[in-house]
Amino acid sequence: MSIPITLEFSGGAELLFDRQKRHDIDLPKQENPWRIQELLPWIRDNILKERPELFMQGNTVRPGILVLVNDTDWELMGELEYNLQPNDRIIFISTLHGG
Amino acid sequence: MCSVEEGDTDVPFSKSRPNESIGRTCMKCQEKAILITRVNDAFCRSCFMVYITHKFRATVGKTKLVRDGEMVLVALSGGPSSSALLHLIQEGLSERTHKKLRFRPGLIFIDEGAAVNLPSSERLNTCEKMLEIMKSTGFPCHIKALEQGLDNDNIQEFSSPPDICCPGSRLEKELGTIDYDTESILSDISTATSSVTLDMSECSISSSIEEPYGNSREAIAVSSMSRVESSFQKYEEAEEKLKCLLKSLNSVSSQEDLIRTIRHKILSEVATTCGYSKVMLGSCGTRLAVTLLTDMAIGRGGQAAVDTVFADRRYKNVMFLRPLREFSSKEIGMYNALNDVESVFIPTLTTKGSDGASIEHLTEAFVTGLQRDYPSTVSNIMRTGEKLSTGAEEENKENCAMCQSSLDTNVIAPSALNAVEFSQRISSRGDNSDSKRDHCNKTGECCGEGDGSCNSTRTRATKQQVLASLCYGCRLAIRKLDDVEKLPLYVLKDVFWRVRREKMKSEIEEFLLDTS
Ligand SMILES: [Zn+2]
Ligand SMILES: [Zn+2]
Repeated sequence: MSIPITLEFSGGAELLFDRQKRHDIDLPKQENPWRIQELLPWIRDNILKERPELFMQGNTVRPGILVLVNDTDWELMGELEYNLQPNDRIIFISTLHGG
Repeated sequence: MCSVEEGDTDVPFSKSRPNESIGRTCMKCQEKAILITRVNDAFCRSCFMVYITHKFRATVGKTKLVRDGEMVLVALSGGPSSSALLHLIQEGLSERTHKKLRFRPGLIFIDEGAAVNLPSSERLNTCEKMLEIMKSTGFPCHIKALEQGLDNDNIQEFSSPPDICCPGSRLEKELGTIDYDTESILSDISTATSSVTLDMSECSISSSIEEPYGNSREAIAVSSMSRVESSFQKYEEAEEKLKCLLKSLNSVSSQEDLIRTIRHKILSEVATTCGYSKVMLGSCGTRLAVTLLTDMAIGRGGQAAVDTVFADRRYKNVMFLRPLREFSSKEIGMYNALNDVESVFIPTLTTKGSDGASIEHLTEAFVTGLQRDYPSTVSNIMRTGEKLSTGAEEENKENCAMCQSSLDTNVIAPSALNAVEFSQRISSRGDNSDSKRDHCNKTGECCGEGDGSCNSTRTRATKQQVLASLCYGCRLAIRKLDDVEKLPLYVLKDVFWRVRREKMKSEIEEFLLDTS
């Protein structure tokens, strides 16, 4: 079974996604649970439109991008280790000046 | 001597491992936490809100600078920080709260679209969004365009009381509901930027006038349209002038610097003419930490303290306040997300640029990168900034003609300034056209002496004369500028005035008694 989740980009991060702020996606079924660690490269390869280095740095998000999992700071959810659940809402907010 | 505060250690506190923070509870009430802030404090939603509101009130209140009923101009950029500032002010003024704020805010948005070459349709769109946000607050609001700062007559014109300059003022008084200033300026901007948008701007004027006054609607639209047409040309010229000025600077860093200077000039100008005694800026602590380090790198070290302090007193009649300086960009982002605070995205010169696009952009990448691994980075930078003393705040000191900071160019021999000047002298040797122009301007309009003895309306200043009236940072910013006439009019006027005063001083010198 695939996992439906909602992604939101704001603060200028949406510019990298064709200015579309909200994306409802279905993560394809895989053997191991989906973690944010796997979600990030999936976003980069599937919905990111340009400049991947402005979204990711190394295996994580670029510093200055705030990540919220269901309105909670991802630092409290295990960051990259967090196991995605169906209907999760993940928000990426760029806090950088000019996006 | 260096004193180490209690709790400080040599090694910066590094971030805790991700899995150590899972499921932490609020440090105040043991509820489930929703974010980690400061260095390692976990807060639940309601305690976070209390913490933010309290911090805001404390920052505004503790200095007792903002008096009851005082008119304060709040500068909105559309970005997250100033949007949060507006929300905090609205909350603070509302009667629900116990410790109410008591000043009278007015709002201003400066459209900087011309500087980043935004198409006029997009600029109009942004202005309309901002106007909508501003109008919904019920506070008086103003919209300006950055290019208006190039010509201070332009700023004056639109800020003076409506009954002096606007044909529609009488009607406005009768209606008493619309802010003529804002409406007309919005339409001015839109028309000026492109004639295509003319229709839309007319719509925005008429649609904003409330129904009961239906029959006066057309009158207003018509009267402002005629005014718009007359100012049409003026705007296009100003926009061209701005673009031309920015283009002739040598780097994006200098462009950013100049935009900041002009923006602040407009803010202080509008505040003065509209009766605001304070201006509130939305810059948060993270942003100010970046500003502090950027200032060091662009030759504004002498201004780093006033650029980041809570109360900036460099402008004559207006004080600039930074009530969000204790907030991190993470706290602002979280606050906005939890309160559904809407912000309007506005591109800057470095939007989608690589880290090295400008000094400021690079500094930001540096600070945010450090902040991620060492959460005390921003507060450490800010605390260091507080220890910087400006020292040079004597009353009668001269200010820079461009940015109004106190002149830091009256310095002893072994300084960076002198080194730069020396190398410029060396490299301009052989190119005698420049030094000749010092003495005699070839335009034929005037002798360049700047004494006003010739009959031209305003003497053309030489580059040397302009540079002499600027601080080190502004000198660096316009170093590559080919023609000083491209500078904003207010700068040239100020320079001219100084040159004349110097001339007069030297003329009467021999008649003065020697005081030594
Ligand atoms: Zn709590
Ligand atoms: Zn200056």
